[in-house]
Amino acid sequence: MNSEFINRFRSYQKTGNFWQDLNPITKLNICLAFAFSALIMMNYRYGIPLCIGCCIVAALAGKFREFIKLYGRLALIIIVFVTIVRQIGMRTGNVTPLINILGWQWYRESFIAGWNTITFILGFSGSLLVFFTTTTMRDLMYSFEQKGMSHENSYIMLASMQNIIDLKKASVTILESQKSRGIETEGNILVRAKAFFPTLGPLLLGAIASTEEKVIAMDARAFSANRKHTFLRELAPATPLEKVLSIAAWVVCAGTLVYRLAPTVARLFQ
Amino acid sequence: MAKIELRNVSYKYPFTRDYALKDINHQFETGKFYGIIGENGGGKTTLCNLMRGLIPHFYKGKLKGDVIVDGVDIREWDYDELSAQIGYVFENPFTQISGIKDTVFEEVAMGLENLGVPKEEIIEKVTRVCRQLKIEDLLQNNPNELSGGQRQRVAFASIISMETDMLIIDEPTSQLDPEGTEDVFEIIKTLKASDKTLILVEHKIDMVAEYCDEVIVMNEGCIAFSGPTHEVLSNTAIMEHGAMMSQSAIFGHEMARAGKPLARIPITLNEAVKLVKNWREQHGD
Repeated sequence: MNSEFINRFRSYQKTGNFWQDLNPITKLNICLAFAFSALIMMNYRYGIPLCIGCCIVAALAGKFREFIKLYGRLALIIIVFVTIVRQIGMRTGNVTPLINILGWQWYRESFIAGWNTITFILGFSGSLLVFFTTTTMRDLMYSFEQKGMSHENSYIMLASMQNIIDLKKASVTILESQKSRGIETEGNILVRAKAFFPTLGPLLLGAIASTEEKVIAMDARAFSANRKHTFLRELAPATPLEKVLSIAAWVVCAGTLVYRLAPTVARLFQ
Repeated sequence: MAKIELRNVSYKYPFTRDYALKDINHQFETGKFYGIIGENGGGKTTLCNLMRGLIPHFYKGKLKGDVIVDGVDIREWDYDELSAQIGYVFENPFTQISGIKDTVFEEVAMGLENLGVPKEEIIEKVTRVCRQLKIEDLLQNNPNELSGGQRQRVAFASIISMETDMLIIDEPTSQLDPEGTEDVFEIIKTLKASDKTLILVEHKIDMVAEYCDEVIVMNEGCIAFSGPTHEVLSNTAIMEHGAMMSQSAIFGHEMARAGKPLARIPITLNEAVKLVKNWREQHGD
């Protein structure tokens, strides 16, 4: 019996990494505050440092690889798409020509507008991505349960994640059995679609039947017992420092709002 | 003392015409091991659902008669509290895993967490049960990545750790390979040594013959036969009601038919070997 593994349940779950060991609610507060601040600022001078900050936090949390895998793809798509759309959309008015590529004139103003849009999208999504790559759903649900969320809702959220994996496995099994009966399941999109759609019926019926069994199985584990539940795996509650960090993040967010609204308000009172 | 008493019980599932159980009368005594056998559709699982309280709390339908659990009518029981009294392990090992726990240790502990058992007690109980069921090597594994037999072991451990007085085990080996089946019967052997009331629905008659104190033969929603295991399983009439006889019992009847009757009809292999030896000693054949 691995006593080191068992002893881990006797204390709060820790990884030894400062960011990862923050309470999920603290992390959520910080990430949401910065995500909203990116939306409010909509400026590359704020967005670029925020994007770099997201990468640094992910790296310090030891999750840079997972983070950059998704963030890199997203950034590539957003940069290409927004830049082209902005250049196409800004051909008239008071514009400064920047460069001409094979007869296509690019303008300075459209570049800046494009970068403002890109960095606000990437700043917003980067903040959320940092949260989801450094926080497991299980820990998040635990924290929500501690804040009063029902046990049932928490279970539904977590089980849904596993159900997606199970349904994918079941779908592969059905497709393979179709294949063994001589039905063409590989080829162009049309062939694949023709093979895939008939599997939806058994897949859904199977899912419904297994949900009923799952409910009974969970009832056998006293899932709905009207008693105060024990948590075998516990996370440390937010420390005073974490509370300060959360408040500071929201102060930054409020600051960006004031910064953006100040000129408008000043104009109103002039 | 009767753990569960069924008095004139009939039950019909919602939106169905025929009764799945018809006029059932039976007493399940505390500490005994009951086997329920019979053909598919005979009402075995419905009877289990009834004793576990799924009928009438989960499956509505029409219930007639009285189901008394620990002296209290099933309709008056708090359904959620019944799970702390009666454990239930069923056939599909894949749907018995919660899907939300990362390790087998946490999976086994889930029922105890729901019952609000103190953490230190949970750790002690889970450790003990996992050792008892020989799943110590799996403790850190992801339960969603286990084989069918391993999952069934984990499902057993989860229910056994809750320490219910009674355990209903509904066809636990029907989806398992021979190795997984062996694992499950190893657990059942361990359970038999405890004082729990056990009810096993099983098609593997040899296993029922080996472990159960009493056997009930279900057929078309009725109890066709019930009584001590040897009495029921040595009776050829059970075959007319869709139940199978053990290989040893068939051998015993064949011997009798051949004019070489054994001292009694054996129902297990060990018993058959013993009786044949005795017969040979007596007859020198």
